[in-house]
Amino acid sequence: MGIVSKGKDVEEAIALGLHQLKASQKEVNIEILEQESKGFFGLLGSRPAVVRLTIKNKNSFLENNNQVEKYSPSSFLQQDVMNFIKGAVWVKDGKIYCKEGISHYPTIKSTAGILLYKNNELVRESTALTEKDEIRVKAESDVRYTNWEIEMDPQHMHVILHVKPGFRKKRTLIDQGPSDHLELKVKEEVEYYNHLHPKDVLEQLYKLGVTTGIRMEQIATASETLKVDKFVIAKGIMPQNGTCGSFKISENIKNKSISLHSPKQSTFLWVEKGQIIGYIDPPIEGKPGLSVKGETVLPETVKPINVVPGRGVVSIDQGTKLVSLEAGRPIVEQLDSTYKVYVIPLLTMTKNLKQEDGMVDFKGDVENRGNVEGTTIKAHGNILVHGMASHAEFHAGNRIEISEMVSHSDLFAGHSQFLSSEWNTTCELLIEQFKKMILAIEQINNYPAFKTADIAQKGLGPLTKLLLEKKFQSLPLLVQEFTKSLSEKVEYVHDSWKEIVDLLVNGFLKSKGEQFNTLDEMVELSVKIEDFLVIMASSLREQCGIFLHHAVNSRIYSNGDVTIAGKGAVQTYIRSGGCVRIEGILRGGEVYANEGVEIWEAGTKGGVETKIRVPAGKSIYIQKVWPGTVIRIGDRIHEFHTFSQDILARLDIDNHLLLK
Amino acid sequence: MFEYYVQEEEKYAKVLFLGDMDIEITETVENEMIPELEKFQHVEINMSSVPFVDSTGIGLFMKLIQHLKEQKVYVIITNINQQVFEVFDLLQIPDILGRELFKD
Repeated sequence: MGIVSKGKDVEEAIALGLHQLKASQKEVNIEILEQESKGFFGLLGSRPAVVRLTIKNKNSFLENNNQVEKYSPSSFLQQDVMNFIKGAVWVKDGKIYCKEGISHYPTIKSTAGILLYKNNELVRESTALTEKDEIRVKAESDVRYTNWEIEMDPQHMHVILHVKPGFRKKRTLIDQGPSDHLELKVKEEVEYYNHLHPKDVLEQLYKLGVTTGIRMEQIATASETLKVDKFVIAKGIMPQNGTCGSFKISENIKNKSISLHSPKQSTFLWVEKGQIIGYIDPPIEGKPGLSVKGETVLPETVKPINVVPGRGVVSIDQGTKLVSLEAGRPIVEQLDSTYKVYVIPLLTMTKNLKQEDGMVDFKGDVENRGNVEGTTIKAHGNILVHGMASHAEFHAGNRIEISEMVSHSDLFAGHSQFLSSEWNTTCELLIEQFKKMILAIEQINNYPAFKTADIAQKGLGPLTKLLLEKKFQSLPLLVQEFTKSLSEKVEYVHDSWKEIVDLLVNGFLKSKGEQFNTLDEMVELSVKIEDFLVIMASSLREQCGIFLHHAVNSRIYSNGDVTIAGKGAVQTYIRSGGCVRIEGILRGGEVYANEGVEIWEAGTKGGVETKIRVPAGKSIYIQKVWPGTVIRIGDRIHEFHTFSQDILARLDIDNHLLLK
Repeated sequence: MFEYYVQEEEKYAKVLFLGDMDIEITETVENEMIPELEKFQHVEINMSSVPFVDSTGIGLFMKLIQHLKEQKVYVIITNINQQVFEVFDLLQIPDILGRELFKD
């Protein structure tokens, strides 16, 4: 049974026919008798589409046994008209099925991990299918084998096994319902497994020479793991380090205090004649270890210390104890593993010292319980004066403390050549010129017309010679001054100065010799010089200092801090390598301090000029400041014209002077 | 490879330098150029064909010029390449030898 139906296109003709038959699209066979034709401009001579619809047998789809599998009625019963016309493609149980449409062929798009073959040809992107096509799919499956590797540290103390288990990645097509265009989808299943055989690992260990500390249970675990992991499969025995020799100061050494007139007490360590100063402990050897290759691993070498008993000290009991031969202040100086121990004796004078008593020069500390007038005291260590000082001169290697007024006197604590402003200027200029030279060499190396081949052969000698000729002609003079100042007081300066002086002299003062080979050598030396100056200044600062109550019309030079704890300083010149602290008034005079200044009150109501100066980067604090006071930080100067309080002066990043 | 050519006119010599003025010219300067050029009253060195210099080469060049000046030879240096002059300038060579020696 069938009917013939017409419509403006095939789809409409089918729809009208189905309506007439009261049948669904799946229940009929459709035969297109005539395609519609649009005619000219869609107006003239257009013809309708004509179809014949026949009610079909239930199994008619299965009859046509083509190479491509057909729609199965069960899966297609509910498909709509569009699919019927346009055709369809679907996936079921991992296979692809196809049905041609009336007016279209279904299309299919492959995907990664799937090889789609149409008539034995690989489809790379998309293709259209006909029922005659032979369709084949092959799901690619990735396989990775187990990766493993063995790592041994350079000291042969550990062997680490890194394991990356293998996997198999299985892909299957995901079922999809009929559609005129199908993009294939895959499901991936990953299955991990471990191919590692302990035998292979052991063989590898044998090849590497590993014989000791092998951990079989770790190898077994590694051969079973299913995740990326690492195992310590052999471990050596670490050596046990011993202890180096040391010097310990005896706990029985007590402090001694000398009470001065001021509230302050001078306190220091004190040993009596025959007292044990300290104990020398010998080094204790460590225990050797064993590497995984069975080698003996030595512990760090333990160093004995070298103790040099200096003045007033003797070593007893096979060099295990140091005992003082005279009463005094024990000093322990340490440089690396060398200790120098000596006792500074104390000379105590109870009477007032006058001009007719002559100069006192003592290789130790000097304590004077009276006044000092019109004479000079020189001491290698400290000078302590209980009374006052006038028209006197004091030279101390370390500290000076005077508890009453100091007037018309000169005080020097530390080493005079490092107190001068010339020394500071030389150091600053030397560093500055040296750095500029390094910069110039870097610059010229980048000039296109400059060849550097001769530097590899002859070093930087020829180039430095050219630069010293004119551009840096002041550098050799600075080097001369620098090394001369250092050489004069060899014993006081840290040992590294010798190396620095040698490098500078060879680099800049000798016309031929061991000049700089590379720019790195120059940079290294410039850093060394800067470090050296910092260390030197701080060690000088630590050792030296001046502590006074009241100073008038005097000159004070100290490598370390200067403190005036009483009334203050009047018309006094103070120069300090450390900080200056005046817990009173500073009236007139001048203060220069490398590390900063703190003053309770500066200047006078009358406006006497009072100058205070610190380098850039340091600060000046004044509680009360009167007009006429001039402060200078780096190259910035400020004069106070009105009375001010709580002034904290310093430079900001842009080199502007801040007063609060 | 460095070469130099001398064009003589009685007491006047025009010298053309050809090639890099570097460590390779040590013997040429010391053994050949100095004895040959010190005989003249005027020496004009054309540097237009010197593309590269190194520090040893510059040192030798200065030695040559200073020696000639000591021998009362009137020296001028012409047509120096701009990039080579930059190197000379950074080292202040014109200040050492005298800026008046350098002509365009």
